[in-house]
Amino acid sequence: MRKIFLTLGLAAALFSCEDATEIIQPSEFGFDTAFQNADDVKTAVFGIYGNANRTTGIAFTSYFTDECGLGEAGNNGNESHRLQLNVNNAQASGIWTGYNSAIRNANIFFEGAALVTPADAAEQATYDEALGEAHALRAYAYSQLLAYFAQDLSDPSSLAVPVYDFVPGVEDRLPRNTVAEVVQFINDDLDAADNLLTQAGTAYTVDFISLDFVNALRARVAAYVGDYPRASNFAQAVLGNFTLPTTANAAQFTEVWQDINGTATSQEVIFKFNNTLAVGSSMGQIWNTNSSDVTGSPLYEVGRRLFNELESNSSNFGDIRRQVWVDPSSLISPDYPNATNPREDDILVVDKYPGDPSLPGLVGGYTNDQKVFRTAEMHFILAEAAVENGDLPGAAAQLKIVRDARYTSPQAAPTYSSATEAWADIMAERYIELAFEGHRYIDVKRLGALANQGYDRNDTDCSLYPAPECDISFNDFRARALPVPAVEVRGNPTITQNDGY
Amino acid sequence: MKTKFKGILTLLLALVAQVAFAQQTVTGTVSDADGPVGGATVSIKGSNTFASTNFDGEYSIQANPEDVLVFSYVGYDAKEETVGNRTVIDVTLSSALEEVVVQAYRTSSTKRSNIAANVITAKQIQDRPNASAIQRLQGQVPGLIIQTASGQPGANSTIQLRGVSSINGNTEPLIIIDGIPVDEDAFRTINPLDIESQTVLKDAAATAIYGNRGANGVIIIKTKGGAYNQELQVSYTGQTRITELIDTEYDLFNSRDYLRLENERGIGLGATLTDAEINAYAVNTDWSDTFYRTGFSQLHNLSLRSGGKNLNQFTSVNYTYEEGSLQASDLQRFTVRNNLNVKSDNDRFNLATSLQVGYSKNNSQSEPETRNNAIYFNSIYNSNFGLPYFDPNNYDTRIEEWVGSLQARLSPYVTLDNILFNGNREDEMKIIAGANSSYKISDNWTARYNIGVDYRQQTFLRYADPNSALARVRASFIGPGEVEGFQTESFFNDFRFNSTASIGYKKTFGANEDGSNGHTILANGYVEYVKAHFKSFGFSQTGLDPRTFSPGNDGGAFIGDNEDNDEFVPTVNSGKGSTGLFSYFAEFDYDYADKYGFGATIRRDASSRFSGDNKWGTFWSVAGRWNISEEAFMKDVNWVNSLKLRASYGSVGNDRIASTYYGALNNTRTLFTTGLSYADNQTFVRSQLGNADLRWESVNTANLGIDYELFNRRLRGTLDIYNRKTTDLFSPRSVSTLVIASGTQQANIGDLVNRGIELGARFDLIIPKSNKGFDLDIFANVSYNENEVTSIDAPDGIIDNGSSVIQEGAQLNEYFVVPYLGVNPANGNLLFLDANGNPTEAPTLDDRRLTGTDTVPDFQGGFGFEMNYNNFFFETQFSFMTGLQRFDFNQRDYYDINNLGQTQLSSDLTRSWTPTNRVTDMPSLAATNIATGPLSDRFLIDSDFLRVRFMQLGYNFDETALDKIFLDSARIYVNAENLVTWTKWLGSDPESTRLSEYNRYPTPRIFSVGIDLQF
Repeated sequence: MRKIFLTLGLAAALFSCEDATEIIQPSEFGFDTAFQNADDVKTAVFGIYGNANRTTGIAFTSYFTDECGLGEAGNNGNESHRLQLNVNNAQASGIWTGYNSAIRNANIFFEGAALVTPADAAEQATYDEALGEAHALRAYAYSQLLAYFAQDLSDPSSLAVPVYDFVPGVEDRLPRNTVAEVVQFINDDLDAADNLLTQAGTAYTVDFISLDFVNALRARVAAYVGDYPRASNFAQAVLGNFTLPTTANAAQFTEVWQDINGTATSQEVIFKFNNTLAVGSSMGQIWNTNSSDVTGSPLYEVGRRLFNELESNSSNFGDIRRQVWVDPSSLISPDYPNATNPREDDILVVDKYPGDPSLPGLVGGYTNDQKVFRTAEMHFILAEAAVENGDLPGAAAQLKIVRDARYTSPQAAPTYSSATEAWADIMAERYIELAFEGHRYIDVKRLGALANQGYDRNDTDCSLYPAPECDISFNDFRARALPVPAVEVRGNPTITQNDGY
Repeated sequence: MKTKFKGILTLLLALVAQVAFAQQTVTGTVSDADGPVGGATVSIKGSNTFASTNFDGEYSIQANPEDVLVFSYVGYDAKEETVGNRTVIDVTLSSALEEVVVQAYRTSSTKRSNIAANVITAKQIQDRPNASAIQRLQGQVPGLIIQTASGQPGANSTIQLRGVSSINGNTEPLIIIDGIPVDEDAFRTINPLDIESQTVLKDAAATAIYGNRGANGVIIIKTKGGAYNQELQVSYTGQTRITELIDTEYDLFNSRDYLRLENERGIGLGATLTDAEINAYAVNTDWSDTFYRTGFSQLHNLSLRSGGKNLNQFTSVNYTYEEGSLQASDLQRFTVRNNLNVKSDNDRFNLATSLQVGYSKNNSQSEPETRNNAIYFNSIYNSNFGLPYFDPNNYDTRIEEWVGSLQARLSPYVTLDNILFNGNREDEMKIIAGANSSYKISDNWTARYNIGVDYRQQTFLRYADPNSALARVRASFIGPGEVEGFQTESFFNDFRFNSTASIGYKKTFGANEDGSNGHTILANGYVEYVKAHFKSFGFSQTGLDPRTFSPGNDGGAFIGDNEDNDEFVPTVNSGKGSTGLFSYFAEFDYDYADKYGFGATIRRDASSRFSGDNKWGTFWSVAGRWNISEEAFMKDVNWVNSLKLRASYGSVGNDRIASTYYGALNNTRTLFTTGLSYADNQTFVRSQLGNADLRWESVNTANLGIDYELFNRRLRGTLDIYNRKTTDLFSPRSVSTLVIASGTQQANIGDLVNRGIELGARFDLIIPKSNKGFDLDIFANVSYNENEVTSIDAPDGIIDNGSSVIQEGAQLNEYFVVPYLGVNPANGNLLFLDANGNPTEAPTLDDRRLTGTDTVPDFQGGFGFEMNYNNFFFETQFSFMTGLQRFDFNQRDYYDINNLGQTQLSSDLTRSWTPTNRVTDMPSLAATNIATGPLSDRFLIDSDFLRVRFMQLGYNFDETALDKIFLDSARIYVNAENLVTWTKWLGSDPESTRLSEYNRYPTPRIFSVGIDLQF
């Protein structure tokens, strides 16, 4: 009996209470240990880059607008392409939650950075630069949300998106702020970024935040809301550092899209997100299952309308964009409207993201940097500002700068008989130049009424999917703003929804 | 005393003296209230002579007239009969009245049990063809819902007792095998034929002692054991079975009609064919014929029991091979079990050990849940949606066409290719080992110590052969002449340890001379420690040399990284985690004269999942009973044999926030994670927003029950009513996506009430006049459960999950959808009802409303009968559920014209709205509002059903014939499972807990033949 008691006693003593109830899981990493010094702050900022570097807007724009038609492997298209846009739309939800993640992580970053005091001047510079980058990235995230979700960009009191400069708690259910409030917040962030990056002495690089990024974003946001004096100011500032080539050179221009950081890129690209094999690698898969050629099983192809314009520009003016935007292996039907099977007989492969030849293998074939600000866009902003100012020849002069960089047979500047005509020409040139870069939806939203343009898909493209709708007008509710996604409404039931959803 | 002893001795001596003279053969039948008891032991008291009963309960033994025969069977009180001059002695073992009720950490007699529990003995579920021990319970226990949502052999089932008491936390009962808590989802490697009994504990009085883990009830499984002083008994069971797909009722297109529709709409192959070509089109494929098969399975089970004076044992060996109805899905299982019982000569020390080692191999073709609708990986998708005009015999050419074009409509050929080349295999080893020991310190004091281990080790293998179409396509993108293919292997082990030490006191006092009318008190104190660890690691290699590749092996086939690209760099992963519980608890029980009883338990638990003040939970219960039939005033009420009223109230807790055993282990803390981010820089980001308020979810149950045995015990059963209130429900609460990107966070969000009534009854309709006469028993169990969310800690008292809500006053996860009205005759668009009761073509989120329905049945149960005549036996069991609805997304896709040219559709589309066919239930093919955003109830379908769950016909061979071939008994039988189902649901399987059904592996129909031998 004593033996048994002894055994029982020993067994019970083997197990202490805490061992079973105070368990810290392996690799737990808390807030207080995360932010210790300036290096930690600099390390954390890459996470915000990662959140801001998203291509959902580009994908949505390609699917939804008249940029693309269905590809050979695109089946019947997704809901966006069929113009079936609703609160459960995957891309709309992705844009909302994705850029809000960038904003939230920036706010967490600011809270953590506040715990750190830089030890010396070198650390101070690292610290300031990281903070400056975070401010700029938060402003960028807001600019995207503003563009897609604001009900009406031209109305300062129209609802945009919630503004928050703190780490929201589970009880927070934020209402949407107005366009003016969001723009103010963006501008404040950019001013802060400007100061910090100046203090830190941050030099220009194409794939990290710089003062040129800050100015380009200031110009773009001002243009979004029609504040053209400000827009033109900052566009001019950017153009002080970037100049488009004066003649078209297809080989040079191709380098820009192959992510070769040579002369062409330094002229054409103000900022791009750097995508690598390991991080942010699947951009080309928006359009192609694999590589961007006719064997890569295209999902979405160059829309027939866009292709026809490129083709006519090419034969009339030697437009180099025809060969750069469209892959040479494309199968072009000589008589596509009468083709028995246009999906398989007319394959126009999007080649704007041809893969980075320095990156190997299958994944390299669909990995490219995301071009966010290009020199051409600054000229378009100046053109818009000129039209707004009643300076139609000024607008034409800006378009000529862009066209001279693309046409091997330079053309005289256009002459416009009305502002509408000028707006339409700007939109048309943006449609070609900025195709597949996530601008078309926002362009129709803010300029559609001025230019009297909506989406105009080619009828053959529309015949490839079974849904009934083909074109929609600029004043259709779907073209005016994306829906606040259902996933947000669930947690934030009192948030105001956009019209029509 | 001394004189008495002397007397007995003298008698014994006299008996011994007569041994040589008058041996006679005594035969008879051992039965209980339910019928014959097979495997009972018949022994001659004080000798080494034994016999056992066969399946018919019959025995034969050589004995002298003075001998006392002892009839014993596990779980029954032994009965003694003096032989005298009888040659036939039929015995009815003390029936349910004295049946031992397994009650948490101890057992109790039925009379003295205060709890709501149902016992299922091996007899009720043996020989069922189903491979899962748990699935056999379906329809057998009032209030227990077993829903199996996959036809994969060995698939896990969802087990729910008395409705869903938790939204997000674990809702499945705690399962204890021989005292060892085991993983409720790992029944694949447990041999159903080892099970002696399964006891389902339901009310708080029964489960409160399990505190932290008993919130959803407890199922206690006892495996078979030997008996002391038992001769060796060998049993063999062999079964062969076939498994087949239950056909769906969707009205799908034939190939010609489909081509006509394509032709009309200018899409797909049909658009390129003339009418004449379509009319002559010969191929018409039902892809389910290609992807499903008749699966052949077999089972062999051998068991041995024996016992000596101080030791008895049970050993079983089982081999099962089961082919699924879906191609390339099967299960192979091998298990060995050994149960040992040891006792000291003075009976004070008892030790029971059990060891089960099981090994299973599982091939599955369907992908894990998340990829179930990945068209190139899921052959169920292609079985449902493959185009009827493609010919499976054209695989050779079509697969090359797909490799060239990647057209999704060719996906059936891709999954055919997968079946040929690619695999998905899971090997599992499970060891359940335990020891329960007790030592009787004095007549009143007993010390006990239990220790148990549940160990599971799994290896997963997934591979794409370099010759497969998927691998060839990927290789072609790397470059010409490249090869690809991948192999992913992962390893997972899960070790769960528990240890319970207790000390108990039991005393009866104030009893009469004969032991009646005494007061019995019982008190036990326990300390319990539970700790569990898991470990996983794995790798994935891309790039396999087809010359040497063999699944699960490197052998030089792994192509190394080279300068050209990084395609062939393997990826690795590793993970581990732990969880634990520490508890102390006590119980007290009082009985007076088997008439009145009172019990109480209290328990304190600490969980590693909670922090600070929330760490400890206290759970308790009180229970009382009144054995009305024991009262003096009932003596003359002859038709009442036993009647007991019991009542209980108590609380139990749940710490499994996110349902799984290792889920949500540190959700109280805000955490960051490190990883690679922008431009290949290492960074860290917040990965989890902690919820420091997380606390125990608790369930308070009030239960009132009656156990009855009436009319000479011909009618027996139980009746229970209950009210279960869950407080601090675990659920993901919806938060703004500005707070957390996913829009949800695990939290305690509110309260829920389940109310219900359960009735179980069994009636001996026809009692046999002779041993082999006609015998008919009928049985039924029905339960009704309703639930209501009583409070929600969220703005407006609502948690919006899109198409269902958790809302105050509504059912849990009640559907919340826009009512679909039908087709607008004016334009063929869909019409919905808006929030103001007006028809609309453009519904918004605000137009959703409650439907009054959910996925949980209101009424559910089973009924059937058992029949014996001569040597034949026949049994049938029906099961049913009512009041549940689910989304049929297969039906939705069959009705979606957007899929034309890509996937199979319903021929109902031919009656779509047109300007000349305005009154119809099918919208126009050009309807502009097919995709409305908020879900409507258009595809929310009733999934009520009545099913012939089980049917068995068998024959027992005559022993006289068997004697010549050394068999004690033998029988053969045929079974059918899921033979017929009546339901409105159009898919194969109405039986699932899922909100929506979409390309899942349906449970099959099974036929089997078996033979049981005993020698």
